[in-house]
Amino acid sequence: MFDKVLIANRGEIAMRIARACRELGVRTVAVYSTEDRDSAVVSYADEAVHIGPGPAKRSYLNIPAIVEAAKQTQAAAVHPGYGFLSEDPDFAEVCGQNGLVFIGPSPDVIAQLGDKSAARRLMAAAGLPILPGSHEPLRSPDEARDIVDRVGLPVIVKAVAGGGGRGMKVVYDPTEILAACELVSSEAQSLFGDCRLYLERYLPTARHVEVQVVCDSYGNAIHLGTRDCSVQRRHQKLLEESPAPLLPEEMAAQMGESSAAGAKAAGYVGVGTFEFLVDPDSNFYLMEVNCRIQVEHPVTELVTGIDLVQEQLRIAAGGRLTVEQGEVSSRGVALECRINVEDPDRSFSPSPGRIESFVLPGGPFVRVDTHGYPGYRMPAIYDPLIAKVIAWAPTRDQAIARMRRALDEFQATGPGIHTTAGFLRRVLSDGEFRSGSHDTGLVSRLLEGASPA
Amino acid sequence: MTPDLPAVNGQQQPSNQSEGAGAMLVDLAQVRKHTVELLTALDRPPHTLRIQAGAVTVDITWPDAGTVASDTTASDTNGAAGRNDTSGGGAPAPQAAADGVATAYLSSPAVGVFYHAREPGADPFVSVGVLVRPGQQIGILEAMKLMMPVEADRGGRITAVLKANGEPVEYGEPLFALEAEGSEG
Repeated sequence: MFDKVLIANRGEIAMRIARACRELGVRTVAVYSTEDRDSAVVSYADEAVHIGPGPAKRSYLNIPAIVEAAKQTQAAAVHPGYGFLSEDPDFAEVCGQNGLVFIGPSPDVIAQLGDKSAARRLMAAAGLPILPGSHEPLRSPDEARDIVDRVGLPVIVKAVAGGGGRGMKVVYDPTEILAACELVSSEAQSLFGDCRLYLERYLPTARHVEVQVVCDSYGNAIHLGTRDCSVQRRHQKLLEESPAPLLPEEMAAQMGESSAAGAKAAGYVGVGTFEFLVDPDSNFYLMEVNCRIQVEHPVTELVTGIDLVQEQLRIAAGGRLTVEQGEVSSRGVALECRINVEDPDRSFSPSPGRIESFVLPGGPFVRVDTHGYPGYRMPAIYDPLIAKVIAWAPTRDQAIARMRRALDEFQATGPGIHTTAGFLRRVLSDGEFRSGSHDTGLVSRLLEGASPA
Repeated sequence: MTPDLPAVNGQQQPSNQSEGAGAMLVDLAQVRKHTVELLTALDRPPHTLRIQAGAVTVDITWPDAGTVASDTTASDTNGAAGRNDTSGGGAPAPQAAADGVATAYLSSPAVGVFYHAREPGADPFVSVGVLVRPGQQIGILEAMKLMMPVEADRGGRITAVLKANGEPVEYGEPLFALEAEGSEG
């Protein structure tokens, strides 16, 4: 195992990684921007290095600063968390060149799976079902029209380099294709520095189901079951659960096996996620592969008993998988609520500020991953996530009841502070959600106010 | 001259100090205060000033050959400076003038290794007593084998060199203390 790991991230995930390291006896180095100088991980970690000013470009996305910090503190490995540099093949490569272990897949694998068009080809070849659409990045608007003629409307135009719910547009009308391509292309150029597009059939009512995979560097790959992330607003996940409800066991097994096979085919090492859309007829299609730990990883941890961050560290240090597929079992149901500092009554606009009173839920089978504390000033320039409340119970109904109880206990107040906790309570009491039959349209239906009480 | 200069960092804890490491920041402020007092007492700007606060060492050199060491208490001066008092700079620090002088800092723009000079053995870009202009190069920062010039983001007279040549620095760490231009009271 490593002596010392640098955590190239912030917020709750930095604390999550630091805790895993501490349990493994690994010393930690936090890096922080000026905005985060009072953050929890800075005092929790064994060492902390100030790497730049607030804007992420000059701190958490600043590769030379992070590599220098690792060298100064003699860290052996770098954990990138999620977001920021976690899926940047250049960062993974630079780490390697500087004698640092990047905790994640190899730069080549990240690059190949990060190119959504290349990933579609590779995964189709590995036998995973993909939505009908383009096989190569689009070369012209005419080609886009040809594909629409072939696969039918609606379609979704996506950036090859896209991710995180950004760089995409749904097209319902054939006259909108050209404008959509132009819009997404220019957005993708500014967001990702890559204007290439691809196109696939859009499923208006679908469930978002994903499979967690874990692979070591000896060619072993296993899957840890499914998560449902259909409770989304504008492609941003708000609530996740494991296992995916109402998913036929046989189908879940098939998704899991094909994901593990896909990971093997790609030469994947570490923990990763295969994201699928499941249509009303129970067909599943691969959307994309995420080469990082996911925000929603705790729900898988609670049902399988496997600490995914510790697995990442062990695998990166050259360890073998600690369990075989046959030993993986999923027990009960876990839910996760992402509590953001946003105002649901003002179209989820961020509401940062000083959190004066911060009360976390407790009690049996409730876990909270957070970097907050009473008096914490939530910066305005980063992700609005303040806490993840996770609850486990033997059945889904019990897990929902437990989560409602936990959210009732949660309190974050301060001048101008609003959170999504109240909105999440609405989701938990919604009939469609409670039945487990909801799809990705649930949140917009709730927000349109037409929700049954 | 300044026998009460306390420890500036934990590297050399003076034996006669009862405060723990927690007093570090206060001590740094004290060092700064005494340094400013000392500089104010000099009748002309020195070329370099070296202060080592644990058990106190102060070396001062002037641009011409003559140098003065204001060696005060217990420790040696490493013999770096001569003891011939050519300028009177070694006179006891007067109580005068330090009040109202605003101390500012030139800070590191990034994480890296800080260098005082263009190359080993070369003269430092700046030293104590030098008046810097905004935009003037004050050092070099190495990050991932890339050498970046460090420039002053404000003008003033350098009063202390706070980072050694070749020392690793974080973003925002003070490299030099300076007395803001025109702030002399």
